[in-house]
Order: sequence, then structure tokens, then C-alpha cells
Amino acid sequence: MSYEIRLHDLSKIYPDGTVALGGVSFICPRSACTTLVGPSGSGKTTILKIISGLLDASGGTVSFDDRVMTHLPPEKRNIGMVFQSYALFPNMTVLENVEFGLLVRKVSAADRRRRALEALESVQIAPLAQRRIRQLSGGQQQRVALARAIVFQPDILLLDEPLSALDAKIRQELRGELAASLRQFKITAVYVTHDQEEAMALGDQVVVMDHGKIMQIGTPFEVYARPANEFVARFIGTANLYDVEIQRSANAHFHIRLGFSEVSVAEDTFRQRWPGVAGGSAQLMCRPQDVSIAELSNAHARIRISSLLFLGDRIRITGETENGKTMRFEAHNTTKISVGDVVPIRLDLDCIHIIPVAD
Amino acid sequence: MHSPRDGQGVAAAAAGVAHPALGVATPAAKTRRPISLWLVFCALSSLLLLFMIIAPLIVCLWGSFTTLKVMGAGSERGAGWEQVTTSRDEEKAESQSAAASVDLGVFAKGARNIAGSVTTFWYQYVWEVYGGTLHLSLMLAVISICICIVLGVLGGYALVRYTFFGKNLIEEMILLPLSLPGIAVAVALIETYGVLRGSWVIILFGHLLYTLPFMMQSVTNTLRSFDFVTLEQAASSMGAGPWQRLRYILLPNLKHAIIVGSLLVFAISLGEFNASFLLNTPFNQTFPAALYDSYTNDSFQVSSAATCIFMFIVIPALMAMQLIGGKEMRDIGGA
Repeated sequence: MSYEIRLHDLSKIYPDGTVALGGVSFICPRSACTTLVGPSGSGKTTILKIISGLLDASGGTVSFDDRVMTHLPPEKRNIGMVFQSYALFPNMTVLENVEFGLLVRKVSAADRRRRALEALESVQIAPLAQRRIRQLSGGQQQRVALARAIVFQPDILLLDEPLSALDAKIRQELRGELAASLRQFKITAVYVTHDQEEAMALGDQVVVMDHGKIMQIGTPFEVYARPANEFVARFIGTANLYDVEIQRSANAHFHIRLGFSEVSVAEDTFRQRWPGVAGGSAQLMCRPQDVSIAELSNAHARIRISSLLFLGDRIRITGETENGKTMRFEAHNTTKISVGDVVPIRLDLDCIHIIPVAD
Repeated sequence: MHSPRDGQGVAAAAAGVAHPALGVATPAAKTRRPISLWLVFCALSSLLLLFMIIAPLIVCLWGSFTTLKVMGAGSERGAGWEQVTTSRDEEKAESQSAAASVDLGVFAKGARNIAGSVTTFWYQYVWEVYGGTLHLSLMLAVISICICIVLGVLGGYALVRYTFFGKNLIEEMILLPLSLPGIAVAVALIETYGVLRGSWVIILFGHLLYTLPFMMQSVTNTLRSFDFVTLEQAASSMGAGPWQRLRYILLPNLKHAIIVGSLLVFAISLGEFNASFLLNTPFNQTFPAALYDSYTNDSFQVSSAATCIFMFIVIPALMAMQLIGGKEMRDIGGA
């Protein structure tokens, strides 16, 4: 059985007046993974702890479908939780750790063992069942923590930065596995991370947070390609952001003045893509991969290259526009350029995004 | 040219000369690191330390098993001896003690007539005369352990887990008795709980004041060494209520701390003298206080035997403590 999590007007204010969460409402859809992403102090872990019951909200309600959970202690919520530090019990073996959730539910010994081994099987570490916790690597501990959280078939799975304690390489490997596992479990999951790549890779829905407020809720594609505001644009991926003036011209086009260049978009297209933008001041966002070195004849601007970063498959280029704005873009690793060169570039107009200026 | 290497070379040469028995040096032995002066100093000071601690114990052990004949005249100058020498005549003394009372002490019981060189007479005597005090001391130690476990675990948990007003003050207050002279603590206790003066309960109070800090320290150290708050949160997220968390998570992880703390409490309670000496009465005498009595009233042999009995009880406890402490380091430290 899996539920949707409904959060209504959740707030958390500490006695010293710190506002950790300022009135947050959203729904984590059934059997899907919602990732909460934001810088530290954004309130993402606070939300997770309130959902789990480890922390009391100062206001608002938490419900799983129609069941209001706000004041239930964690042990009465039937949740599975994976902690950042894994929090495996050092006094127990791997198997005993996984059995624990069943033990406290008074499942018979034989059943416990069978189900625990199944859970360990599903995260591919059944051979380690008899090990002590201190004999496990970080990656193995993470798997035990996951097995332990799902073995009693919780209604909700909560994950608090489960990969952040691992080395970069193992983190990448496990990210893929974790994504597969979450789909396989078909469980409503809430996943907290500060890593925007992880948030997009694992989330069916991404909630971007800052300073206890929601900045944007959307699919990974939406938050990446159509950020709602400057914060999201800068936090998710790398973005070039420019203040622009937008003007509607007589020939049914919108002219976007960048200061170092000007691009125009057909009115129909513009209205369809950015219905909220009327004209006047706004911000234009283009991702590094939306900018390419072009022929001089159809270039949008000329960039003086100030630094090059070789990333293996591609080169990350940082340059300056004619009016001194920074632009970051990418080129294939065979591109012959060097610092100081002036190259013509072109923006991919299908990929640029206009962000209305905040009031 | 006195580089450290030269120094080592000299030391190696010296070692070589000092141990001609090692004789035929294989090529492997030649490349082995030479024994440094530093090591020699360490070994010497360790030996000295060992000697300082062990020598008195050996003397006690020797004294507790030997007869007066082996000990010689020197032992007959104890306070207890004078009681008998007043009678001048051995035979007379013996008949007197048999007729009158045990007041005449160990010599009246025929201690001087024991044949041979080895005897368990002193132990029998100690058992007979001071057995009751040993019983009281053991009882106090066991009760102290029980109370310390409950107070130490609950109090230690509260102190580590929660922040509350006056927390630091409480922590200091718990440690305070350790820095006060036993006399001060005893006088304060007598002034405050005068009603209990005749009972062993007041001695127990004194022992608790001196033992609780150690149990507390043992428990809080362990609690601070791992993130038990998160472990508890994990357990509760998995459905464990407060009692299940206590039973399956907190107590198992505190097991070693409690055992080590208990042994420490045992050793301290059993050996506590300063406060007990003032708090005890002739009817409620603890073993260390009785030891003092035996030093002042009985012969060297009797006090030796009493000391040895004390050691036979305490040393195994200390060894167990070390063994378990080491195991704890291996078990929890790596996790």
C-alpha cells in the first residue's frame, strides 16, 4: 500500500526565532519519488524530519492520504528511513539490523529471517548477512540501510542525503542503483539532497527550496530548462543569466536586447513559451550547452575567451562579451581554441529561457 | 659527527657486547633495527614501577603465609604483641585467653606455637574476626553497583541527550565529592543524616558520592562516542517504541560501559577508606576500616592476610575491567 503525502502550510520556528520552514504546502505523489533539493539551511531536512515525526512542526499538517499524521510519534507512522550517516546499529549484525523493523513488529523469527534475506538480496548484499557493521564499506552500509528501511514494507520511504557520505565514484554508481530500486519498490519516497544532479536523476518530482520556502516544484526537466526564478536557474546546473529588455516589434516578433547582442522570437512562440512575460525588463537564461561556436555570418555575439577547462569529453569555456558580461559555454574536446581568442557564438533559441523579474 | 644513526650504531654495538649469548648473528639479524637507548630507558623505568608496586604485595603475601618462627623476633613488636607480653608467660597467656575472652588477640590463640614455616592461620583469624566487615563491604559494593547503574544510565542519558537549565552545574556537582577530602564528606553526611548514624545506609551514601561519578563518566563517555541520538531516531523510524529502544539499542550499546563502570564502582566502594572510616561504627565496620584496626591492633601477619584477602577480591575485578575495556575499544571504536 502506498500513500500520497500531503503537506499543508508546514512551518517550523525554533525557540530562538529562527525560521527553518515558513509555511510550505505540496503533495508528494503516490508511488513516486519526490526530491527536495536546496542549499544547507533551506529547510529540506526539516521537512523530512517533520514527515517522519522526528521533529514537531510549529504549524501546519502532514497527512498520508486522508490520515492526519501530524502528532503521531515516528514509530506509529510506518515509515522507512535512510539516514545520512546510515545509523546502523553497531551492536547487531547486518542481518539483525535488517530484521529489527520486523522484530519490533513481532514477526516470527523464521519469517523475519526470510524477509530480511530477501531484502538483502534485493540490494545485492545477501552474502554479507552475518557481518558486523564495522566490517562494511560505506557503499555496503548504504545498501544495508536501504534494505533495513524497506524490509517491513513501509507506507513511505524517506531518504536523508543517503549518498552524500560516499566517494564520488561510488556515489555515481549507487545513484543509478538507487533510482532503479526506488522504481522497483513502487513506494512513495521523499529524497533529500543538496546535489542538484542527484535530485534530477532520482526525482519524478523535484522541489527546489531556499530559506525555508519553496522556490519551484516541477519535473526534473521543468526545473532545469524552465526555472521559475533566478535562484532556481543558478542552483540547478550552470546558467548564464543576463538582464534583458524585451520589446514587441511591428512584425509580430519579440526583440530581446541582451546588451551585447539582440535576438528575436516570433510572437506566437514567445507567448506560448513564456505566457507570464509581457515585455520590458526580464532575465534571459542560457545553459552552457545552448551556446555554440558559430560562423561569423550567423553569430549572435563575439566572446573573448578568458579561461578553458578541459573536462575530457568537452571543454568548458569561460569568456567575456563585448560589454564585459561573463558567458560560460562548451565545445567538443577537439575544438582548437586558446585563451585570448575572440570567437563568434550563437545561442540556441529553442533552449533559451526568459525569467520574469521578481517584484 | 654525532648523527642519530651513529648513536644507534653505538647502542647496537653495546647490545651486541651485552648479549654474547646471542652469538651467531644471521644476516637478517644484522639488518634488524638496533635496540635504542630510549627502549632501554623505557624498560628500566617499567621495571622500577613494577618493583615499586609488586614488592609490597609480595611482602604482604609472604607475611600472610609465614609463621612467627620464620618471621623472627622482629614481628613480635606489634601492638598486639604487647597485650600478651604483659603476661610474660606463654602458657599462662594461653590459659588466660581460653578462660577469659578473645580480647587478648591473635597471640592468645596460640599463634606463637604454630610449627613449620607456612600457615593459613592468619587467614582463618582474619576470617573469624573481620569476616563480618568483609561481608558488609561486599554488600555495600553490590548495592552501590545497582544504584549506580540505575542512576548512572538514566542520569548520564539525560545529561548527554538533553539540554536543560543547570545542566553544567549538575555535572559539576556530581564530580564535586571527588575533589573533597573524605573527612569533609563524612562530616557533612553525619550532620545532615544524623538519624542514619547507626546504620550502614549512611556509609552507602558516602560510597555513592564517590562511585557515582565514575559510573556516570563511563556511561557518558560511551554515549558521546557514538551518535546514539540518530541510532534512536533510526530505531523509532523502524517502529520501535521507547522501551524497545532502551532494550535493543541503548542498553546493548552501553553494555561495556556499564560493566566497566560497575567494576570501577566495585573496586572503589570496596577500598573506600577516608569517608567510611568516619561514617562507620563498631557495629557497622567496613573492611578497609577493619584493615586499619588490624594494622593498629594486630600483628604484621594478620594485617598482611587481611590485605591479601582484599587484593584477591579487587585484583580480578581490575583485570576483568581491563579485559572488557580493551574489548570495548575493539567493538565500538571501529564502528
